[in-house]
Amino acid sequence: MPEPTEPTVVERPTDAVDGLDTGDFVQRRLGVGFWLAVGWVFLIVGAALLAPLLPIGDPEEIGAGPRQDGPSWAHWFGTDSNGRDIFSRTIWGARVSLMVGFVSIVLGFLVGGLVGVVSGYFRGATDRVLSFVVFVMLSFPSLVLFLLIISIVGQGLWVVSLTLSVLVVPSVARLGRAITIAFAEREFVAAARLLGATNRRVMVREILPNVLIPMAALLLLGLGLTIVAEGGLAYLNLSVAEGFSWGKMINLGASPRTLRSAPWVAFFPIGAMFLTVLSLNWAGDRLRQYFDVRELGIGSR
Amino acid sequence: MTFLARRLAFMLGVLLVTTFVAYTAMNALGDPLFNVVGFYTQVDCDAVIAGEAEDVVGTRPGSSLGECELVAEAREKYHLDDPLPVRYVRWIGAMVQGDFGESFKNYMPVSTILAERLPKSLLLMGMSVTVALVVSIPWAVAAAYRANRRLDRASTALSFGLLSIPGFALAIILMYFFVVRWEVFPSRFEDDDLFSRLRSLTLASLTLGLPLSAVYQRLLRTDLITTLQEDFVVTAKAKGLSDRRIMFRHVLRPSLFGMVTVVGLNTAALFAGSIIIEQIFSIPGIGRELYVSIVRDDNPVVLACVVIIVTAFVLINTAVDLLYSYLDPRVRRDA
Amino acid sequence: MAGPLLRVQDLRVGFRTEQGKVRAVDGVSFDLEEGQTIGIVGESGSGKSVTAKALMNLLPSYAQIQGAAHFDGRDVFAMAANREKHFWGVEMTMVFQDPMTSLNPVKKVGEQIAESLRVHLKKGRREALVEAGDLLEQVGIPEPGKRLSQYPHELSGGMRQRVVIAMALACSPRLLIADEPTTALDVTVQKHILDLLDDLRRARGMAMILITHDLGVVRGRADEVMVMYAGHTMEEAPTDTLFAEMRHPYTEALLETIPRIDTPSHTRLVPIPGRPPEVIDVLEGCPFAPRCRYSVTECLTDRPGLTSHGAGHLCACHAPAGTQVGKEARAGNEAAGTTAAGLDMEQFARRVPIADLNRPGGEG
Repeated sequence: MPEPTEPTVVERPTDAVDGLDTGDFVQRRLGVGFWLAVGWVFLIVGAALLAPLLPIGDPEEIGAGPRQDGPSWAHWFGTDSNGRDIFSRTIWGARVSLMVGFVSIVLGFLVGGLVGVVSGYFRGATDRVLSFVVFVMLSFPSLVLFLLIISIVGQGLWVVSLTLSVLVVPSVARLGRAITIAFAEREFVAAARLLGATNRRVMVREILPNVLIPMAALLLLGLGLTIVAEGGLAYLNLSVAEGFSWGKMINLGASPRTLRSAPWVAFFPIGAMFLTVLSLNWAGDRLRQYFDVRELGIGSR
Repeated sequence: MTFLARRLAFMLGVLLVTTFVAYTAMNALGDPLFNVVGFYTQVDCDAVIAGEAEDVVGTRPGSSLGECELVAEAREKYHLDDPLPVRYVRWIGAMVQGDFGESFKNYMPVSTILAERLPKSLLLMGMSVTVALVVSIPWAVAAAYRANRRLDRASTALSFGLLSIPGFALAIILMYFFVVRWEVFPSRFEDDDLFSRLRSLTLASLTLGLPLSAVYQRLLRTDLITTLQEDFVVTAKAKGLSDRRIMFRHVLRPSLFGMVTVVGLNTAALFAGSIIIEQIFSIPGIGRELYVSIVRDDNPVVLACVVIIVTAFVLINTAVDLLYSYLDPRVRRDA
Repeated sequence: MAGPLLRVQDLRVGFRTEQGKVRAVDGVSFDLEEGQTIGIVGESGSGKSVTAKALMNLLPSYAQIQGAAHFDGRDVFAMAANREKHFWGVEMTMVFQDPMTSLNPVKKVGEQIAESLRVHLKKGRREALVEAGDLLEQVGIPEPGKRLSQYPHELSGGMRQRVVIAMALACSPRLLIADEPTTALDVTVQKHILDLLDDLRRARGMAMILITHDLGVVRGRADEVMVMYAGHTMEEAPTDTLFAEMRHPYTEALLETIPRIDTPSHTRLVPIPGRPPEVIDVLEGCPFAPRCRYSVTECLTDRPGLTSHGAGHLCACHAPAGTQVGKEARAGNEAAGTTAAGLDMEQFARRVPIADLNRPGGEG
């Protein structure tokens, strides 16, 4: 695509008569917000990785403080109904949330990307069959599928991650297909074919790198999506059985009675999840604009 | 005509594949016999019934003659000895004739359960879509009209905030303020009259609709800005039309395509999305029924819910395709 | 009413860019009497379209407009600032270059024509549609009743331009601005549209500003012609005078780029070498000098003002064509093989095949 030129018009007097003369130019900067978002993500990831080394209390210690005690110096985020320290639990809870989110988004991108590239490269019958499968996946209520699989197969980390990756496969496949089609018609691909390269070689060497770069921006957006989805499952007590994630913590504080007497039990993990997802969305969107990838339009839930 | 035929074939294909996957998952991954009778037989039931083996009453569950008779009855009633594909065909055949079977757990006809639950979910869906559209369209128009100025930047930040709140978290926040603190809305679903139903569903529809409005706003804003660059907008200005008229009468309609597709996809997905939300707000709708049935292994109810959700998805997407031809007369000839 | 219908005085339009201020229109003045036609002629970027858009209040809000324009004594720019609702589209309307893109693709033709009538003249839906049908008939569209309920994509380019014209005529304007109305059309259709505009203008006693890059278009259609280059007026004269006594070298060069029916077909067309300047800095000297066959040293340092060359004939040139000074300047340049601005005179002697010629395109 042509290199966007610098906007020629810089002056927009603030007192100007408002009108329909809107010029939407692409910002070629990442901005302060991007770096703040990246900073937060690194902070959370770092804290989660280093949780065992940090000078924080045992997240499972019952009666570490008084029950349902509000935020204080001893317990920054207060304590839950069992007197456990919510600050420590929020950091430990990040481990499961991030782990499941990360594993499932990577799996989803691998599978979805492969399907999309193959579908867009070969077109024809292959494309029709794969597109049909993708539509079926889109139309199947994913949460129902999760519930079925997880309630039947079990609640291990890998099962949950694998199941959640199904959520992103169709969107990624659609996008990968669109980008591949755009690239497959470019000269350098035709040139590689003429030189006698095999299909697999063309796909892997010529097309895949070009598809992966713009999709990397979407990886961050997708990570936000899977973290939220894990939270939803955890809220229904259907996520990873071992340990606890933000979703499970939120569930513990979400009953009207607990909300009335100790709102912080639910609100601190909600805040942590919100800031993380917001950061991922913001950073991902700035990158998307930076690489000029069209919006996905996948809804939140 | 061929377009319609192809469309119908596609719809049918999707329905068949999804129902088959769901049916297989329910039957092959779980044990339908256990789901019906609630215990595993510990002895060779055929032998017990034939009197060749001992009836060991009260030793272990599933070992008595009475229990074995239950098992045999269930096997026959649900044709559990037939191979899976045969059972699938029988099930889908009954479904087509309107026979949804009966619940494994309370033996009520599934159709009765659905008739009770579905209207509430449909009402919730309608309200959520209304919230999403009523909020997003004026919001997008305002943002596009003043693209890249202060108002637009603030609205971008707001839409990001809305997009980043997980649905269940938004539900809890709304519940905290409107139910627990201010007691504006009831904490349980009230089913007295239409008004009480609407009131009970308000928070849930905001929870589902507001994040969607942010999605739609972003899409529509981008498309509006693209349309605003078109020559016919200049023509409209030269006609001396007001900015408001140009925006709503000339620019809005050709800009709706992108949004309409996504509205279709998301509206259908709302059914599934409402599982958690109905759970949080104690709304006795399809989503909650589905969740409860999955946890209770109530296969017929689960499958019926899946059929309804998938059918809704396919139907809505077909409706979207038809809506295209209204929005853009240029598509009409191909249709 | 005494005084001209439209009086434009010292119009200047600037756009501030990162490279500096672009002076798209730099001191243009003209008068237009009721029922008369003025042709504004120039290459892309000469400022002719910007002039029209300034008058039509179509420039973006960051454009800086100076000077004055009065329509029937009313201050046009003051009306723009006051958001006058029923002036543009009623008394002053405009027809655009590309009929393919200037109609809304998702609205029926009838609706689009009726819209002005409903908005400005407060007519009812049915009444407005009947009138739209009449307008379609006036612009020569067969079966107007059927066309009303068709969409733009169902019509040919020429038909669409007729629809655009019908739209512009809906409220019986007193002034119609036609900006390259035929550039995007087939050659065979061009003449029909131009003749149609001419007939309608006569029948309605309407004034018209006809903007084009093609001097041939204004010949016989405009009462007066203004030639613009780089935001400046180069020459202005009654049409007959202009073609009889062309004074500006740019006008002369423009004329040589037009294929003419009255000359033998093997006559070669002569392109104007070079490109119009990017109008960023205040130019010293004449903006056309670098491309001019007549240029003398004075042209590089001293911008010529408009001077009178007879009744109503103005020209901004130090060495006008057809005058003694001009003839001497050109002869001198030919003898030297190069002009004062360093333009190679040899290329004018060379024969240029028609196929290689880039005719000046539409407004960029």
